[in-house]
Amino acid sequence: MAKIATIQNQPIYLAEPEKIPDCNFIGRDEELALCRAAWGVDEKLNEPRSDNATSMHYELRSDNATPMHFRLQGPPGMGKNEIVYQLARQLEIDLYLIQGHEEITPEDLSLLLVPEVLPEVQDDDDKGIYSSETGLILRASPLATAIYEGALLFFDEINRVPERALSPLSSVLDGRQYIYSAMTGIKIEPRDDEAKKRFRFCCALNPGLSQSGHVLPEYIEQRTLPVIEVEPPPFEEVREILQKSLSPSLELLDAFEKWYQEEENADISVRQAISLVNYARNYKWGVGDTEYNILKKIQKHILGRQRSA
Amino acid sequence: MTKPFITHGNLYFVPILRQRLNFAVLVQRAVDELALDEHDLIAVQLPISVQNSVLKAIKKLPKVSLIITALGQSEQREVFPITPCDGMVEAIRIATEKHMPFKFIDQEIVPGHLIDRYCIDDPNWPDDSFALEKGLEWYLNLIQERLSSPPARFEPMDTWREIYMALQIQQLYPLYQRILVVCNATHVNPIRQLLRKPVLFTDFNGGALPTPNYEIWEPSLPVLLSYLDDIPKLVEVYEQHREQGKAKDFDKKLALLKLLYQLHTSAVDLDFSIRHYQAFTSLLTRMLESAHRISPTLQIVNLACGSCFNKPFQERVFRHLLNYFDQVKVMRVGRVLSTKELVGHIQQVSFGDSHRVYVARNCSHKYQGYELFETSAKDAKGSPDQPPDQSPTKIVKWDRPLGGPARGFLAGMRGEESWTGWPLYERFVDKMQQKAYDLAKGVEVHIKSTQFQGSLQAGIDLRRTLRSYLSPSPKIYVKQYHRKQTKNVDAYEPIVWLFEMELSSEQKYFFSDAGAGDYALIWYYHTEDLLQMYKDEQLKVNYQKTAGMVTFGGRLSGSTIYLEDKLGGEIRKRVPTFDDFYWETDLGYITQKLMDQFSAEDPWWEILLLGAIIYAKESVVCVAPKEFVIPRRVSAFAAVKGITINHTPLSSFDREEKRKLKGFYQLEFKRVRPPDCNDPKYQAYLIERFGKVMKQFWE
Repeated sequence: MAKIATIQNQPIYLAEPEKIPDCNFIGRDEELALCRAAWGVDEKLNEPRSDNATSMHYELRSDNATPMHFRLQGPPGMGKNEIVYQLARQLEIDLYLIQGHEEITPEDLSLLLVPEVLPEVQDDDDKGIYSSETGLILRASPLATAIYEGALLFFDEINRVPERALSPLSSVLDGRQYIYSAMTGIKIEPRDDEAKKRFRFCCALNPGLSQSGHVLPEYIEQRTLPVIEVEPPPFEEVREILQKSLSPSLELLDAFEKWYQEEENADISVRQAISLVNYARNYKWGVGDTEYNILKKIQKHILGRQRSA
Repeated sequence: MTKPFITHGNLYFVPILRQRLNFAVLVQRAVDELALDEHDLIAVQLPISVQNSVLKAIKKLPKVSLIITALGQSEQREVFPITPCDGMVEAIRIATEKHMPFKFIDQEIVPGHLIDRYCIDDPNWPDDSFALEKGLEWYLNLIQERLSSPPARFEPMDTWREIYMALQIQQLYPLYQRILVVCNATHVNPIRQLLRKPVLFTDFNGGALPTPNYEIWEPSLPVLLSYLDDIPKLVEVYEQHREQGKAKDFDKKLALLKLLYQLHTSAVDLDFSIRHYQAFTSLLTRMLESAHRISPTLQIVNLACGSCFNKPFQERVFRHLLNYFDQVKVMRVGRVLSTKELVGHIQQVSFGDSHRVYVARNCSHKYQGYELFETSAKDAKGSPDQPPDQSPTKIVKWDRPLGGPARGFLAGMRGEESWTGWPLYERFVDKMQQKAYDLAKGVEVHIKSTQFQGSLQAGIDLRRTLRSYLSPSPKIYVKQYHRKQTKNVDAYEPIVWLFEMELSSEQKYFFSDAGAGDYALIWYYHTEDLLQMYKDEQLKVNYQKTAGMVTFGGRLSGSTIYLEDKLGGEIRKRVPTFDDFYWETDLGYITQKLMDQFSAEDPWWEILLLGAIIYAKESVVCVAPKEFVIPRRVSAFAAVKGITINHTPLSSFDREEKRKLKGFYQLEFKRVRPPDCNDPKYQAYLIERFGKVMKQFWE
């Protein structure tokens, strides 16, 4: 059931928060520490201290300092989204997500006028029919909802979004903390002081897209600091991630390590590594061969042609 | 403000940790607050035998010295570093400056007895800024547990020393109005307890020890850096505060923020806004809070700089903060002035990594060290100070006749000095040219409005939908984009880059430049003078901001043979040569083909565009701010020539790309110019020789 808020006497349907997948997060301690510093996140004081950083609990600092809106930068498959999910898990606050793309409009970031899905109307013969009448409702974007509710907002692939569409963000990312819907003339602000204190924004982008003209406008770039570079993790972390996410055989893991070092494939992303080992495992069951040979055979299917040479 | 001393009757203790700047500030505060004069005494926890050497070394300050002690033929050495950031040194300096009595009260120790002593390696050691912030007693209580057991205490030596010092203080007590005792934090509470006892054990036989030999040494670079608190530059700033009589108010974090602000504003080539600095200060504060610290460490500053500025600035800050007067000048990571040490790389290490044993009477906690990866003498010989295949004394004449300013930054001679552009700049411009051609290809977007059939497409067409609501059968309309690829742009066409349109159009000068051979592959318009950004004994780096430029032929780097192959006989029509340019007074180099097309009053961008049109075959790519309108006169000229102008928004290039495109770095060094500056071997030599310096300008 969608939640409805009344803002400036208008009923507005709020967006649904993301469902954060349960997973054992591995590594990225420095990146997480930077993210936490930017957002003003502290370890919970009343919780028993844990040696395992992943199981620690955190809370937003209660001071009045304006939070910083960090930007994660790195090639795809490095775990940028996972870092944000991990922060949301640790903070236990709702996370809203916007997936950036080329056709996002300013309305998509604030309030959208969308056709209302009318309830089914029963006629006398008890046959279900839909009403032929169409109405319009106002639906809040994930960003507007996060501002209103005081939640976390993650704007993925923000540099894919056209410059014009990003302009309403400038009022979100400074002290004003509201978004204005030019279409409806409604200003969406935090519903109360608590929500205002809780709201946090972050974004992610792949700098490789800059070659095709996908760049952040300077006024957004300056408002999304610090920049946290997400680079390939050390092999030990990749191995641990593979072990936790796929539970492959020890032979396959060792073969992967050999392949990783011999082929100087250290620049592959974590996502590619998972796909490669997952495929190798299935290939082993279906076709068979030694683990190392399988990896050599299938690498071109996962990593592209240039590596198969 | 909290009291900078602990009171014990007429005794005022300043417990310190050695070589920590905050304790030097505390000593300053204590002297100031107590308003000590010639009737008072300053007692420091150093042995009397070292006094003359210490006074000699203090005279050399701010130059740091090490006093090395040996007893007889013994191999063991004790080290007394004399730095401005040491509380005891600060106390003696104040006493000598104010002509106050002072006394060295520590016991003489044979260095060999200290050989088993080691420092605490505790990553969670509380930040000593809390001693300033929360008070000395508070901080002493915080570290008391760490101080009361080994390795902070070195028994039985420390107990003997404390008894000896307590005895000394007892003897001095009646002679002076007040005594300020500056000693290591480890000993303060035990001495105070001993002083409460009525009778002290007094059987000390100082004469049993042979006379120690003292020598004053200059420290090696890693040792020097490790004795200069967390950030050597801050010790230098403290020393400047001291000269101005403001040492007692010195605050490490404030001083660092001020330094960073100065560096930030002087980095005119990096195009930062005040938001970058604000972000840095916020992040630094939060990171320090997370680390439960007040004062910054080099590591935290480095991380915050990298996240809020960019890599070249991070490098610039790192080098700047490592500097300490003339003793450490990290002019380039490669050679340190004054010591002339060749350094491959400086890495900050935690004490735990360095495996060094310090022979010192007090070593409570070692915060950090520096590891220098030195270039061996053999490597230094083979280091790329010599250009390949060329005698260093050979002079190559610059055979091009010069009219007006010397042409070409990619190669030039002035006396025995060569100047050159940064080879990576050319490669970068080539990459950007390719991007501009790709973007110019672009797409044409048409918007169509259709009736809503289940998909929102590109959003509701609000205007048409609302209009429809007035009709008898209202409908919802959505917008639909139709994209069409436009014609490719030939990758040899000229590209006009207009960066600083908001600048005054008051003309400075145009500057043509060579790629190789006779071809002028780039034509600049500069609105600012050359600024010197860096200078050492071998190299100067100058910077000039480019307001606009035209690139011809699609590629700057490498030989132009490929252009001759690709364009054949057309090359003379499509790429200008140097001879195509003439010198126009007060204006610079102008292509001769434009001679009748412009007047000196024309805006500079019109002249660049006209020049580009002359050398275009079918089109000119114009990379300019989105709101830029091609001047009517230029459009008309293009139409006459049958040239189309493809306007590509400058906003398709990110901040770093724009910065690198418009930032022209000129390297000036004493070396002859090779016959072909585009020779890959020569360029590789330039990159290898100057790459480390250029890291602070070019990522």
